[in-house]
Amino acid sequence: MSEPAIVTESLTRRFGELVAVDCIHLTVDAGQFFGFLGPNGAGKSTTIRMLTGLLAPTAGRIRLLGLDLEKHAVEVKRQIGVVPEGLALFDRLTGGEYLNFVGRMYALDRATAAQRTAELLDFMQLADRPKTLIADYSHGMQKKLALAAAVIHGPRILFLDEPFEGVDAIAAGTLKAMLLHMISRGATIFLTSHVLEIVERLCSHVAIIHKGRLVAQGSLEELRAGVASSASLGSSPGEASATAGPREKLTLEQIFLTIVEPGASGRRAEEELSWLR
Amino acid sequence: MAEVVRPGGIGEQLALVAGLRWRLFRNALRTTSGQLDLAAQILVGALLGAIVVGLGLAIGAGAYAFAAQDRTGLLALLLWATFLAWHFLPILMATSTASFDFRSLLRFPLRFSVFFLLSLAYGLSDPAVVAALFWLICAGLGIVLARPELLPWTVVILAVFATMNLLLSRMIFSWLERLLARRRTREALAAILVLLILGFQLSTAVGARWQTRVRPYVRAALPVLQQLPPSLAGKALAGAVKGDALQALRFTGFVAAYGFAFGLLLRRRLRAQYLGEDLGESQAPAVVLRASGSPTASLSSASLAPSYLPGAVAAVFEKELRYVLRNSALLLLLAIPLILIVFFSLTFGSRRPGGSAPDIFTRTPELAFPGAVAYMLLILGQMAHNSFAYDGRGVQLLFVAPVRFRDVLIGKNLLLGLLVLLEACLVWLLISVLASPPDVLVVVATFSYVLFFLLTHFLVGNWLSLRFPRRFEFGQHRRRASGVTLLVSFGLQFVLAGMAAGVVLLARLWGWMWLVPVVFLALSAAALEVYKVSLDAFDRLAARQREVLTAQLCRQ
Repeated sequence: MSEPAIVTESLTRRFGELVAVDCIHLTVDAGQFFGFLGPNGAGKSTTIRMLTGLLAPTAGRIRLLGLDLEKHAVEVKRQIGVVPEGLALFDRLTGGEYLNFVGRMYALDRATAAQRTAELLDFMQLADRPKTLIADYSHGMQKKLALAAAVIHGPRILFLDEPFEGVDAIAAGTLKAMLLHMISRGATIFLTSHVLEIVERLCSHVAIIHKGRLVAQGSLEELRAGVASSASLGSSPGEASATAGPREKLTLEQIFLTIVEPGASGRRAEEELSWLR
Repeated sequence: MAEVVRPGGIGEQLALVAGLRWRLFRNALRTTSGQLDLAAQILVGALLGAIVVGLGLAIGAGAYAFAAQDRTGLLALLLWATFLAWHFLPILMATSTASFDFRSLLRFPLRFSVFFLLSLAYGLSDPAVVAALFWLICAGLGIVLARPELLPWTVVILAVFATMNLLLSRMIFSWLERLLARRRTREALAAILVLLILGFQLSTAVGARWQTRVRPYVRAALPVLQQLPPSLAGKALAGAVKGDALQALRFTGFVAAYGFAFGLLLRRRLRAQYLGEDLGESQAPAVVLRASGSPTASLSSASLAPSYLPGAVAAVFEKELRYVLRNSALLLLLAIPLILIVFFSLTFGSRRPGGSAPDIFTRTPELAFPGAVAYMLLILGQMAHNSFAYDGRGVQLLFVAPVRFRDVLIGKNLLLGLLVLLEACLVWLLISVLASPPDVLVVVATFSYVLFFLLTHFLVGNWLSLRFPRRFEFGQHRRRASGVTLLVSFGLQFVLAGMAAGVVLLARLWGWMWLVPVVFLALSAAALEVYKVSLDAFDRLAARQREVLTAQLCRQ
């Protein structure tokens, strides 16, 4: 059996008194399209920042492709691609200059960097604006460029923090096509997203983090089965499982709500915020 | 339950905003960096405060003398001085003072009157305006101390004058903001500001050199200047001193009319903002240039870095060079020392007509080249102290890419070093052409000092850049460096200049001028060793500081 792509052991991050990520044990096998979900403030971005070297863990270990991230940071980074929350763009470069710069930072030779830059700009439909600065790109164009930069060196693992946020349907289609192509070539993709429909459509495996703790991990089928059996045992009386008929498949949204806030849908907004019109 | 929503009073809303500012200030002090920043600002503020108080005393004494001796015509000069300080100092200090975008409050149900008053209050919070206001108060106190019976008139006239100034300064800034909102005009404006600073530095020299030529123009402009607010306020004060109430009232009315007009223009600008005018960067029209063939490939492959540099160092070097070439203000900053050399050589390059003052370059030829280089270093040295300022959110890439941070620092330092050395060569060329080639010993000594200067600035600058990073938008009216950086930067310049002066003086005393290059080359060699060792330490510091760097530079 091949080495897992991502392994975390007791991964913890504290900010003063706040425990943002609490002793997470996570395993992502190579070739998986992995969705990392959680409500706002659950610790998704903190986790992905630790996995990509943007944030130091307070405790625990991270192994990517069998290498310890702390001990072999440069070797690991050479094999991963990242689209972080801020997109990591240099606004005063053109798209071409930026991709070329990133290619050189990932140790590609000049000719290869230039060739891949041209191909990526063409694929992302950004090639017709060669002299436009990134500062003048629309948000969707910036997202596409950030993704192009993250894959220019052909990474074995791709980390994406909210890649579909603020992206229109056309750009989202381009991004999805590229990601599925990478999966078909054996890459591992780890993404966080609030758009559960997209995660359900793309990801084969999912983990859910809540209040810094990992509360579920597995394939979509495994999570469905887990939620359904919990509901039948009556240990988690979520409305989601109740509303889905016995033969009906639970959606990821129903699974998510059932796991994260069992009984949350029973909360009466009209009772709690009675002053709202 | 809608009855609980009631329009808040103006005072209540202003108090809320003041409370917000106080809370923001308190929260900024939670971090060590914020506390150090405040301490440095207090220190710098105390130094500047002493200068402001000194000038205030001089203005007060002047006003006292003019009022006591009935030289009322000269009172207008004091008002002109405060007027110019009020409107020019904030522009000149724009890059070193903090700002708060009060327009962000517009999402709340703020009344227009409150928004207008906030704009005025914001104008009053500018340290340069506080200084100008203080000088105005000093002038008033001087007049009242000399002629106590003028207290009511002085208070009224100076209050009207101050209000007019406040409205005018806010009007200027509100229109500037509109220009600053667009990237292209913003950069053009930044370039104009640099030119303005340059003009300020040259004004004394121009006055001294072309006194006779400038005088007719000044004389022709006088009638116009007489109609402007400082002169009018001066005439109002003169009327009060003479006991001519009608004159005092009439000219105070004129100043008030100016204030009213400026207020209307300001109201128009603020009204547009209040109604939702977007001053965001997105308004900048993206220029789409379609070129034939395969522009992307040719653009991307065009390299600006030497081919022998290692990949990551070359990439950073190239990126930095592109940033410099796209920063008009920075380019102008690089050009300033050269412009000044040409200017001074043209101004003082020959004997003054009818005078006996000798050529500045031929009188002290051994000082011309090092002096010009020292001025250049004073301007360019600070560029090393906040070297991630322009990277913004791109700094994340420097942490996720498989590179060591030492390579990033080397790439940045290398470009700045080459720019400074290139500029020093140009200075040498200009001095050689415009005056005479400097002595070889002087050239070697100067370059050896430049080497030492660069290495020490890289050492300190790399530490400051990692420890106290600040984001800087191109040409934007935002604070550039942290208080600590400004303080350390000033101290370093002082220490290095002192060292240079000490070594040169000792060498002169002993008659061993060859000692100067030897000392600085030895110091450079030592600094180079420390620099090499420091790179690994900075590599580790960068890893520890990655949260601070990304938090400071990625914030919008």
